[in-house]
Amino acid sequence: MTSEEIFNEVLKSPELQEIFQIPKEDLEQENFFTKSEYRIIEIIKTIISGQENYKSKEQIFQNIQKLIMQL
Amino acid sequence: MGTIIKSISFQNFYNYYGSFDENTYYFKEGINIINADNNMGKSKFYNGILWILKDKVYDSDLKRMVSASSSFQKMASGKAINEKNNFDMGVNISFIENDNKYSVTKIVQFNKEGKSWKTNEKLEIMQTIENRDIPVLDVADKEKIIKKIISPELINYALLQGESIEELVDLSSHKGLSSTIEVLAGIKNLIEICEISKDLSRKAKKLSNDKEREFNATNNKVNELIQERELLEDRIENTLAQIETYKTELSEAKKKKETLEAILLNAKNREKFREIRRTLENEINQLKEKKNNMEKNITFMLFSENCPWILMGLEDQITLFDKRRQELTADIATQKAIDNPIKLPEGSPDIPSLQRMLQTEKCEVCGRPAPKDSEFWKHIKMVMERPTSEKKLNKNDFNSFYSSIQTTVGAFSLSIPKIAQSIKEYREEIDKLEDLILQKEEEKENAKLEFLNAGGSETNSDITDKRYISDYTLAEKTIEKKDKDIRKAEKLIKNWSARLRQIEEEIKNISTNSEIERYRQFKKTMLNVEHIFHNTKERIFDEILKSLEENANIKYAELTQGNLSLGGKLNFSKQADGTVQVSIKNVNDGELTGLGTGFQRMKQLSIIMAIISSKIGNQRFDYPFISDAPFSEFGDNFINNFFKVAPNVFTQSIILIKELYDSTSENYLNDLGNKILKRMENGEIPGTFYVNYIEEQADTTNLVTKNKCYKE
Repeated sequence: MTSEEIFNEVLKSPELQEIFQIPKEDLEQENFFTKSEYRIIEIIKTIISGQENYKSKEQIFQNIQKLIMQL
Repeated sequence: MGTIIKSISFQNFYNYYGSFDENTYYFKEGINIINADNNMGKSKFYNGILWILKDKVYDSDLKRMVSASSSFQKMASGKAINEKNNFDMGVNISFIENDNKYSVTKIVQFNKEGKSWKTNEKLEIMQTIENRDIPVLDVADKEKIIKKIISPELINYALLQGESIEELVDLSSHKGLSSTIEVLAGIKNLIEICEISKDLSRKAKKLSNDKEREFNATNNKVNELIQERELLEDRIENTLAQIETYKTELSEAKKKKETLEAILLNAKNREKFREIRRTLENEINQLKEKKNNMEKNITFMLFSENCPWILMGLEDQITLFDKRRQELTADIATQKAIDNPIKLPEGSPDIPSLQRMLQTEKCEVCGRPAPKDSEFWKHIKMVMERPTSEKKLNKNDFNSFYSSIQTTVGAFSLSIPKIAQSIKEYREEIDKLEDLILQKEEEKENAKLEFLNAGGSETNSDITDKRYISDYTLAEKTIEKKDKDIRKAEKLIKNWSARLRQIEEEIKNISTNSEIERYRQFKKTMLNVEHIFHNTKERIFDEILKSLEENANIKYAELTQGNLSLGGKLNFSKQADGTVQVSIKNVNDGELTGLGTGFQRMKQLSIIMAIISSKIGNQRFDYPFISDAPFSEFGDNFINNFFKVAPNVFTQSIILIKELYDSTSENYLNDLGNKILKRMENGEIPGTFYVNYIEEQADTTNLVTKNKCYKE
């Protein structure tokens, strides 16, 4: 599966609507290559692209931490 | 396009004696059949492929896979070993993968040194680029090219040995299934992402805990709570790991139970029919003994005291005898009168009177003169010398003798008419025993067949069956215990988790710093992210499983089409530990048991076909399917169905079989073989058709296999 395919599969997760309160319509608009207004979506993308680009877990963690702590 | 094998060649490899050119099989897309009788090179052919792909061969003496290097001497042609001092043994596979052409050759050079052989193995790989053959030298590149023939993850489904088909489709094995699904769905990277997110979640938790400790360094209460939380978290983690172990053990026990269930049914049947055979054997022996005794008793019956069979048919003879006895008595009486003309009474005249008559030469009875030596004188003398009373004793001998017979025989006059009936009844009884013995023998034969059908053999002992039963009981107990262990552990985790939530609340209430709250949120978010990836992976897994189940059932229906016995429906069920069990359900959704080996193998073949033909995303199985003896235990209907279905499933298949072989036929093909060849010639089945044969009879040390190509 490509990163984009994985991302599209992840968007089908009910947790995004139930826990993170993201409307279905918004999820349908999400794209792997464009920035999302939802933090959780950006975290997910960071992990997927981190794995794709052979980033270390530590690097991915720091990127996420930066993402969260900035907000 | 995936991989297509263009040719496979052998050089002095087992009974493929001679050069590569003399032993080349050319293949194309579709079904490529190599039809050969026993010992004509099917498994050797298969071993050639195993050697190239896995560096292993199947040793038929040891009945297991061995490393090729330990078996070089066995792999070499016996004829080459006998005739030459140095020669090359090898296998070559030429194939195309995505329009690139490759040639993989494994060669072992044999050099005789004294009485032993020195061997040297070589791997030669060529790649054809723009019509130029370029040798591949890098070891890693060579490995990659070999993997292009068949992907290692799918090799179990692409290489199929008929006898091991049951073990091959190991869907209950977590590793076996997950690696198959990973390749089919290409979710290897998703699995890696799951691992990463799990680790990130752990890091976020640690960071949050550390921050809490840092911000509350002076607060003893919070520190105590943090310590307790860490302790509980450790416990939960360890217990979760323990649950995983229990689940694996549970799954193994379930698998064992499932395997034993099929065996157990047969084991119980074997026990049942073994007992029936034993009982029938005793009954037959008793009946035979009874019949034997009755037959022996015939001699006694012939001369029995009351009703001797030997007298059968002599009813009239008693009356006749009586009549003849009376006649004889009368005759004897008459005969005596004739034989004894002396009418004088016994003892009269007396001896002195007769002596005086002789002296006086005158008969005193009639008064007539009887001069000496005259007829009268001689008559008087004869009367005087007539037999004395001693002879009188024999007077009634015959009468008495026959009377005695009459008395004895007379006693049988009533029983003789019953002899025929008695013999008839006796014979009927023996016939009845014979019929009964035949009936019991037939029942015994049927029981033997049932026994054999249940996997029994003459050498099979009841000890093995008893072991199966005891192993089954043990598996059941393990399942019960592991279920209990898991429930107990889950209960503990539930309690600890409840306490953890309490602790979290307590800490939150005491430590209200907004900075800490952000770390807490971070931890929570990362835990959710972990769950999102995990659930996504599980959902894809379930979708693939569902798709596999549907696809396998389509193939199963196609393969078993036309059979009078319905084969049920394949059911894929996911277990608690992520393993999958495949069972066959009947029309009422109950477990279908007692299906023959043919059906069981069809089930496995359907699953293989489903895996192979499943296309998920852009991934699909596109490798050659190579099978040695896939049809043993299959009937003609199954084989026909396979040839119908296979071209739609496998881009290319190479099938080594003997079911189409007839050594007495001129072209070595039986009716089914000729029919399939005809369909290939008509273009109904795409592919090639080879037949192996042996030109000269020889033992395995000199065996040379040749081949005829009927369809190129």
